[in-house]
Amino acid sequence: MELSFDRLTKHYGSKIAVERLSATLTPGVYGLLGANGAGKTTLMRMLCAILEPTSGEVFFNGEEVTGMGAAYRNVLGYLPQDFGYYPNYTAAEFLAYIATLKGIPRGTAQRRIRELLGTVGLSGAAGKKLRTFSGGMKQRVGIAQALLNDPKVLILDEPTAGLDPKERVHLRNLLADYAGDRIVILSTHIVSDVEAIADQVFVMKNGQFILRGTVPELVRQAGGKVWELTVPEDQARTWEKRFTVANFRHEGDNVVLRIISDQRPSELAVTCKATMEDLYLYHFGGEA
Amino acid sequence: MRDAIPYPDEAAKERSITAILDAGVPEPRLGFWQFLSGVFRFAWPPIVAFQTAALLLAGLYLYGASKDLKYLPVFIPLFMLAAVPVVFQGQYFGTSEMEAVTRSSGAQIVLAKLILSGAANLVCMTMLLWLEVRLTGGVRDLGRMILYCLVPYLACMTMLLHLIRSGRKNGMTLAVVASLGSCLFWRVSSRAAPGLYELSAVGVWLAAFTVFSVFFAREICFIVKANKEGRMYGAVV
Repeated sequence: MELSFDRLTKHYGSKIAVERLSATLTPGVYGLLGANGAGKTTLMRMLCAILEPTSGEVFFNGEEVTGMGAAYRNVLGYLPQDFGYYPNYTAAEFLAYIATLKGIPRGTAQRRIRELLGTVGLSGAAGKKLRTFSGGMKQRVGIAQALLNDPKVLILDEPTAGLDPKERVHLRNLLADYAGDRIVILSTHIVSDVEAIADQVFVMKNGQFILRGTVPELVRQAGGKVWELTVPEDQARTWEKRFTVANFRHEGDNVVLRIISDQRPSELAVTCKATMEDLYLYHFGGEA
Repeated sequence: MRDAIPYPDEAAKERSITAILDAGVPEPRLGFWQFLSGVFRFAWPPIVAFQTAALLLAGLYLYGASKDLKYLPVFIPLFMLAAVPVVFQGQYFGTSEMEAVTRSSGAQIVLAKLILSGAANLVCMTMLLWLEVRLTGGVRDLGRMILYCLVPYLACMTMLLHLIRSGRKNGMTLAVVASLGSCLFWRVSSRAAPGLYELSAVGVWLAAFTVFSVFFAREICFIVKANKEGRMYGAVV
C-alpha cells in the first residue's frame, strides 16, 4: 500500500500555501510538524481530495485519487482541525450518522460504534448529547468517527488539541497500535506527540518541507546547537533577547538557560543532548 | 483458448498478487436508496417541522385573509426557506469538512437532502393546492394554481442550488435572504401587476416555467454529474 503525492502545489491568489511537495508514504506513522500557517492543513485537505491542488497530484496505490472517488474515500479516515458537531445528537447518534454517510450497513455500524466508543473511553457517554461534552470528549468523538470505516489511510489534523495529557498518551498509543499495516498522517505543533510515535517526520515551513527523516535523524541535525549556560537571575532576560532560549531552570540565585544557537553563546556554555523540541525551536524559535 | 498474457518476470507477478491480497475483500456498503433512507432517519425531524410550519403559515393566510389565487406564489418561497436548515446543516454546524471525506461525496449528500426536502415540498404544495381548490370552489383554475406554485418554486430552488454550488461561506444567509426577498417580490407583483394573474397572462407563466425548468434541470445535471464522478458539490467552508 502506498500513498504518494507529486509536486503538490496550492496557491490562493498570490499567496503560496503549499509549494511543490512530493513524498511517498508506506504503512507507518507520519508526523507533520510546523507552526500555524505552515501549510499542514492545506496539504492534508489535498491528500483527502476535498481541496483541489493548483498543480500536482495525489496517488493511492498508483491511481490518481480524484478519479478514484468513493473507492478512495472508502479507505480514508479524516479528522479535520476545526470541526463542529450536531448539538442535539448523542455521541452514538452522531457516529451512526457518519457511519451512514460512510455507507456502513446499520448492523456493522452499531457494532463498530460500540467498540470505538470503548476505545476512545466514551462508552459511558454514548447516550449523552454532544452539547454537554467537554472539548476533549468532542475531540475523542471526532477521532472515533475517523476510525469508523477502519481506514487504510488515516489523516488527523491536530488530533491531540484539547486533550489532557492522559488522553494524549492514550491517543498516541492507540495510533501507534493502529498504524501497523496502515498509513497514519498526523499534523501537530506539539512536538512530543510526533516524537513519541512518528516513524517519519516532515517539518513544514512556508508551504515546503524543510526537513524530513526519522526522529533520531532529525535530532542529530540539532546536535551541537543546544547549550546550557548558568547566569545570574538578573541577566537571564538579556540572554533571552539575544538567543532562542528553550528553557529556564532556577538553581539558587542563578538560572540555567537552555540556548539554541549555531555558535557557542558564551565561553561558559556547555553543549547538551538535543531533542526534537530543540530542533523545532531552532527552525521556528524566531517566529514566536 | 487464448494464452494467458505472460508476466514480464516473476517479481512483477508477485507484486500483482501482493496487491490483490493487500486490497482484501471489500466490506459491503450501502446502496443509494439505503443511503437515502439512512439520511432520512436523521434528517426527518427538521424537514417535517419546517415544512409543516411553512404549510400552516401559507394555509392559514389563504384560509383566513385571502382566497385570491394571486397570493399563492407569495408563500411558495417559504418551502425553500424550510429546506435551508437541512441543506445547510453541515455548513452551519461545521461538520461539512468531516462529511465530505466520507464515502458519500459532497454531491451525494446534497442530492439526498434535496430529494428528501423536495419530496416534502411536493407533499406540502399538493396540500396547499388542495386547500386552494376547496377555498375557490373548483378545479377550473387548477392549471394556473400549479403554475403559480411551480414557477416561484423552481426559481427559488435554482437559486438555492446555485448558492450551494458557489460554495460561499455565507450561503445559508444568502439563501434565507433570497427566499424572503422572493416572498416580497411576489407580494409586490400581486399588488403592482394584478394583470399578471389574469387568465390572459398564462402564457407569461408558461414561458417563465419553461425558463426556470431549464435552469433547474441544469443545476440538477451539475449535481448528478458531480455525484457520478464522486466530487464535491460546492466547497467545504
